Amino acid sequence: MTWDDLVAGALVGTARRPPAIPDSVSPGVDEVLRGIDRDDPEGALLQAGAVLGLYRQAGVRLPVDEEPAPAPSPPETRGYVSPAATERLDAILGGGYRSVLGEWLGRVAGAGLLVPADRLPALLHVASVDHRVRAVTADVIGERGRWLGGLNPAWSWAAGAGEDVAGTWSTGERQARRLLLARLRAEEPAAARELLASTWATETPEDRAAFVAILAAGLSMDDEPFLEAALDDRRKEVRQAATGQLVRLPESRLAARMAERSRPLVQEGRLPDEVDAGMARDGIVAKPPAGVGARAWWLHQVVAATPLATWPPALGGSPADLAGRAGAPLRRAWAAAAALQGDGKWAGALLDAGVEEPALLAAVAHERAVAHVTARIAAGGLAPAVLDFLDHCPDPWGPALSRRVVDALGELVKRPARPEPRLAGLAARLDPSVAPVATDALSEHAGRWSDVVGWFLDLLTFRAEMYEELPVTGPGGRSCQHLLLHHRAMVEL
Amino acid sequence: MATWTSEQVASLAPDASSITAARGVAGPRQWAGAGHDHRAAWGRCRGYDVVVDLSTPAFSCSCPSRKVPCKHCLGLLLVWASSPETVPEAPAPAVVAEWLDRPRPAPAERKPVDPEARAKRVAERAARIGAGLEELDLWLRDLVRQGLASAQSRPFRYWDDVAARMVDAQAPAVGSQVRRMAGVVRSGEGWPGRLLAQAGRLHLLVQAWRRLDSLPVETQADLRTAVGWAWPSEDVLAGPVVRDRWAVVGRAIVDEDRFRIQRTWLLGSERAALVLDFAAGGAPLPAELVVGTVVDASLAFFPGAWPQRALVATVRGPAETLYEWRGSPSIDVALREHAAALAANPWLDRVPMILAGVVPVGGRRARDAGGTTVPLVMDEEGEWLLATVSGGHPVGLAGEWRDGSLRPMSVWAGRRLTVIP
Repeated sequence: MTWDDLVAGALVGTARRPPAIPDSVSPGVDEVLRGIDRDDPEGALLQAGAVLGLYRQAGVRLPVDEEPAPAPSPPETRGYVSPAATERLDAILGGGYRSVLGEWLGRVAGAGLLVPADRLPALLHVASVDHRVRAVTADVIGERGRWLGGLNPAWSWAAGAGEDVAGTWSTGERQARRLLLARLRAEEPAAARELLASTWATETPEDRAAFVAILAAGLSMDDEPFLEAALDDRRKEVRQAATGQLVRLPESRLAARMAERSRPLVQEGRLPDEVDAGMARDGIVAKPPAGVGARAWWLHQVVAATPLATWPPALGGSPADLAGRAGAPLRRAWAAAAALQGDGKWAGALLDAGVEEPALLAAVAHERAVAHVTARIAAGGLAPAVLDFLDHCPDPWGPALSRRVVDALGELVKRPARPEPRLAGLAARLDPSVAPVATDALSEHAGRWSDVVGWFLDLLTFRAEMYEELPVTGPGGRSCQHLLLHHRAMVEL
Repeated sequence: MATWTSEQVASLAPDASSITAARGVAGPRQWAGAGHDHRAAWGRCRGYDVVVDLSTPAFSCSCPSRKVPCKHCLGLLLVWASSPETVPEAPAPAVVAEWLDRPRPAPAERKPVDPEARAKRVAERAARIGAGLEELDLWLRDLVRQGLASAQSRPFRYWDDVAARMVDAQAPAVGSQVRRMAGVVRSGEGWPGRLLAQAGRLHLLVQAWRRLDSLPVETQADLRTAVGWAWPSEDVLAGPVVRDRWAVVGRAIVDEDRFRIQRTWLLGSERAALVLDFAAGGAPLPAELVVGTVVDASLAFFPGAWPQRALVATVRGPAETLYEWRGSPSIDVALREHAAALAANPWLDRVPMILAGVVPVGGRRARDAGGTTVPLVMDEEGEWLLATVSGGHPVGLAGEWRDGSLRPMSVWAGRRLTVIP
C-alpha cells in the first residue's frame, strides 16, 4: 500500500526516514509524482501527500452492502389528521398544552385517523416516558409507528408484538412490572392475580403493596381469598393495601366480620371499647387523626367497612329514611362506605341528605352526578367546597353543566375576590362547545384575574379548536369513549 | 399559488422559541380579516396588524417584538398552511398595498474607484498573504521533518499561533484550516493520513500562490477564495448571472465564535449553488430562501473553476412549493461529480450531494439501489426522523459531503421535503 508507506514515513519524520514516494499509482498521477523534486525530502513528502490525498479523496469507494434490506413499512389503511390538527400536536408536544395530549390522541383514535409519519418520533418519545398515553398512542401511529417500534428498543411497546409476559415479570424493572400487571389486569383479571400469586413470596413489601393496589381494576370476589390471605402479611403497608380492596367487596369475609362488629354498636348507640387483635388484623387503625376521639374514630372505620345492605334490616328503614335521620358521624361513615362499595342508591340518598362527600359522585349514575353538581353551582357559585364537588364530577360534563360553570365564573370575576388558580384548570374538562360563550363573558376581565382568565380561555379555545379539527362521529365516538376510560384507568395507576 | 408548509414556515423562525410561540397564535379563531394575494398575506391577531411580503419575504407587524419575523407573522403563515380557508384570496387592503409599495432603500452610491489605487492595494495584500504563506510552508516542512507523531503531544497553542499568524497575514481561511488540523490529530483511527493530506493541500496552496499570475484566472479566483480573501458583492453581482428555477434543497446553520453562518443549497437544472449568509451576535439570518420551495431567480456565481458559491441577484415572483426531486440516481454518480469538482478546485471543502432512490438503513447509513452505502453524520433526532419519513422505502436525500461522509439536510418522501435539523 503506497499511501500507507507514505503516511508511515510522515509519522516518523523525514529527519529519520526519507519519504517513500510511490511511482506507480495510475498513469495520470504517476506523471505528477515524477515531477516531484526528491532532493527536497520535506517538499516531496508534502507534495506527494497533497497529490495522493486528493487522489484518494476524489476516488473514494464506498462499501457495498450485500445484506438483504430490512422489510419496509407496509402501506397505511387509514388517513392522516389534517395539517391543522398536526400543528396542534406540535403545540401540545412543544410544551404549554401537554396536559391535553391524552385527549387529543383520544380524538384522533375516535376519528379513525393517524398521526403523520414525521411526527412519530416526537410522539413515541413522549409516550415512552408518559405511560398514561401509551395505549391510546399505539392506536394512532399506524403501520409506520409499529415499524418504527421494531427498530428502536425504547419504542418496542409500539411494535405491538406479543408481549413477553413471563420475561418482563421475572426480570423487568419495577415500573415495567407494575405496568405489565396493570395491563394484564385490565384484560384478564384472573390471569393477573395468578401471575402475582406465583411470585408473591419473593416480592419486596413495597412491591407487594403496590401490586395489591393495582388489583383495584377489575376487582371481584374471585380475588377475595388472595386478599384475605394478604391480611396476615408481615408488613403493615401490605395489610392496609389488602384491606383497601376488601372493603370494596361487600360479600368478603372481612366485610362480614365488620358487620358483626358494627351492627350491635350502631343498634345500641355504643362506641367500641378497644381495638382488639381481630380488628387490628382487619386494618382498623387505632390512632385517630387530630381532633377526633379515638372511639368515634374506631366506629367510623368499622361502619365504613360494613356492607351497606346491613343497615335497612338492622335499623329499619330505607337508605333514604336512614340517611335522613342518622347523626352526622354515622352519615359520614356511610358516605365513606357508599363511595367504597360503589352503592348508587345509598350515595344518592346521602347526597340528597346533604352529606358533604364529593367522592359520592362517583357512585351515582352519571346524569345524577352532573345534575347534583349543576344544582350546587346554581345555589353556591364556585365556592371552594363546590369546586371539590366539581373536581369529583365524572366526565363528560356536558354543555349544561359547562355553561353553568362559565356563568358562575363570569359572576366570580366581577368580584374583587382572590384569584383561585384551580379555576383555570376547569378549562381542561369543560365541554368545548361553551368556548364562544366563555370568550364573550370573560375576555374583558383584566387586573388580578387576568392570568387565571387568560389561561382559562386559552386552554378552552385550544380544546374547542382541537374538537373542530378532529370531529368524532358514528361508531368511532364509542371507541373514543372506551379509550378515554382506559386513559383514566392508567391515570389512576 | 401554493402555500408554504409548516416546516417551511418554521425555517423562517429566528429561534426555536419563536415557532413555539407562533403555534399559540396559529388558531383560525385568533385571526380576523386575513387574506392573501399573489404578493402578500395579511391579517389581524390580538389587536396587531400583520403583513407578510411573500416575494422577499419581508415582515411587518404592529406588535412591539423586536424579533423578525415575530410570532404573529409566523402564526399567520402557520394558520394559512394549516387552514387555507382562514386566509382566502382577496384584494389587498389599502394599507397593505401601501406597505408593499414602500420605498426600498436604494443601494448605497459607490464612490468612484481609482483603478490605480485599487491595483496597488490588491498587490499589497497579495504580497502580505504570500509572505504569510511562506512562513506557513516553513512550519509545514518542520512538521513533516519532525514527524506527524510529534504533533500529538503539541498543545493547542502550537496550531493556534500559526493560525493567528495567518489571520494577521490576511489569509483567515488558511488560519481556519490550520486550526482544523489540531482537530484532525484527535480524530481517531486514520488521523496521520488525514493530517498528511491536509498539510499537503496547504503546501499545494503555498506553491500555487508563488506563481499566482501564471495560473488560469479561475484557479486564481479559487486560490483567493481558499485563503479567505473576500470578494466584494458588487463585483460578483456585476458579473454574469444564471437564471433558473432553483430548488432550495437544504440548509445548514453553524455557530462560530461571534457569528452564525448559514449555508443554503440550491439545485438548478445544470448545477448546484451555495448561498452563504452571516449574522453577528443575535441578529437574524436572512430567510428569503425557504427550504422546500422553488424560486425563479438569477444567481451571480463567485468566480472559480468549479463555481459553487453564489449571490441571489434577482428573484422573480413568489416561491413555489417544491414538486419534484432530481437527485443522482446512484451514490457512485454523485461521487464522480465530487471527483470532477475536486479536479477543478482541489481546495473545495464541501460539496452538495443530492441523491435519489436511497434507503436509510441502520447504523446511520443510506443505501442506493445497487447496494452502495454512504455513511451519514447526524444526531439521534435526525436518524429517527429519517427513518420514520422513509419507512424503509427509497427516498431523496440532500446533504453536504465532506471528509467521506454525508450530513443530511433534508429528505424527499411522499412528494414533500422534510428538513432534518
